[in-house]
Amino acid sequence: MLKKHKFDFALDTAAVFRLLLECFANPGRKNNLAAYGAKLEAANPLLLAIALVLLDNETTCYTHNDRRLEQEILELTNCGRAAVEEARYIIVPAAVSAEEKREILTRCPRGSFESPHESATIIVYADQGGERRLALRGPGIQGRRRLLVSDEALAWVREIGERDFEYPLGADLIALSSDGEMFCVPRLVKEVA
Amino acid sequence: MNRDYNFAYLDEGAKKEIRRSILKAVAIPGYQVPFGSRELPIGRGWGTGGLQITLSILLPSDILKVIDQGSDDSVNAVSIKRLIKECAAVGVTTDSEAATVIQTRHRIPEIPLRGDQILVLQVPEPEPLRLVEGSDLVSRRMHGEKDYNLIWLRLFEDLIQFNEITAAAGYPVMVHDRYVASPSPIPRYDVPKLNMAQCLYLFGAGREKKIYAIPPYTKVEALSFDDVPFQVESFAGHACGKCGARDVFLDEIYDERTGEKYYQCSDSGYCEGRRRGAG
Repeated sequence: MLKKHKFDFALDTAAVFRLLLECFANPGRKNNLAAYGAKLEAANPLLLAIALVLLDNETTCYTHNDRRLEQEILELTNCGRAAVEEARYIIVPAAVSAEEKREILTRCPRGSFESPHESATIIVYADQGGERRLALRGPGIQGRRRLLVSDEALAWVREIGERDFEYPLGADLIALSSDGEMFCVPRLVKEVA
Repeated sequence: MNRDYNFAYLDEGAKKEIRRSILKAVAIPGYQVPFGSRELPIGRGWGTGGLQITLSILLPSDILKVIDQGSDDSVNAVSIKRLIKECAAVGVTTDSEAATVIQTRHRIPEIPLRGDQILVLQVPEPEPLRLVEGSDLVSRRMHGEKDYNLIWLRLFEDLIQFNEITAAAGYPVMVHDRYVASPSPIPRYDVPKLNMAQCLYLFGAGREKKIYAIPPYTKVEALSFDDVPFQVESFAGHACGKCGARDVFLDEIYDERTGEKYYQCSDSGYCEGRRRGAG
């Protein structure tokens, strides 16, 4: 049988999840998804690889300004489409203005004190050049972790930091770049000087 | 690997939901994330929460260790290990240093775990407030408001009545100064290992349908009063009868025939390793 995708929906999703888990447990640590993205025939295979790990018909996603990617995600995952206010996964496949970031973060679900897990995970494809220094501190990090990120990724981290959600409310960030590098910033992790 | 089953037994939809819950649990340390606990070929209360987490995170390249009360050879540990090996084709070991994923009930291995290892704990009762509040709805609200007065009162009453805090296993801990959590029924001896550990701890309660986590380098403190510090079990003056180890958690055993009492390492893999090294 000829298959469009070489991606193994059991074993490759397990492998991508472990990379994600490592990045969540060790915020700021980078892992590379390129080998898994290469197995997918899609407009944005890296975002699709993450979507295949996390999304199904029991959850909802909002894709910002990219109908083609949204269609691919919905077809392959059966995930429900939702407005940004209700989406548990918010996918931003290209650079957006500071105003758009603010709007997404103002409107996205941040959970409640009783159910903080009912909050958004924001997945951004943030490859807009630049090698900016970022230092993070929080659970999962011994002392502080320094890394180089793109301008766009740094802008997302700072924009979430500026919202200053009262913990345990908040949003968790997954940032991807075109070379397949991924890092995560869960809600408790903050930028430090 | 048994091809009659999906990789790692669970269907992909079940794994996705558990994986989503695990990531939220890691993002909110100590908070109990509800999940749709699945039916498994073992009874609820026998480690199904831990098993579902393990099955959802495993890769074929993983080396798995399963322990029950520190032992690699108990019926529960052996059965779980066989099931996972059958449907996920992972390697298995009794050496905690060789394992990448360790599923455990009631103990944390003696040798400190590394950053590339994940410890999955089976949890019978994930709610530390259950002894003081019967309603799940109310205890969720109490966690939301960080209202832990009742559990502090319970510890204080214990102290007044018995002159010590009597909780032996599952001693409540404060995670990252925000959530009171149950460390599962590990002995007090193991509680300090949760604080600023290198490894990731994942907790699964299948019957109660909750997942929670403690990421690496997270502050975890046992609840205690300023003038009554938290204390762990002491085995001063005793050593393992098999390997001679001191300063480890020991099981007290009676010889049926002689009535004699002796001690041996609770962590059977550690004990075996010491004896192999000595031999």
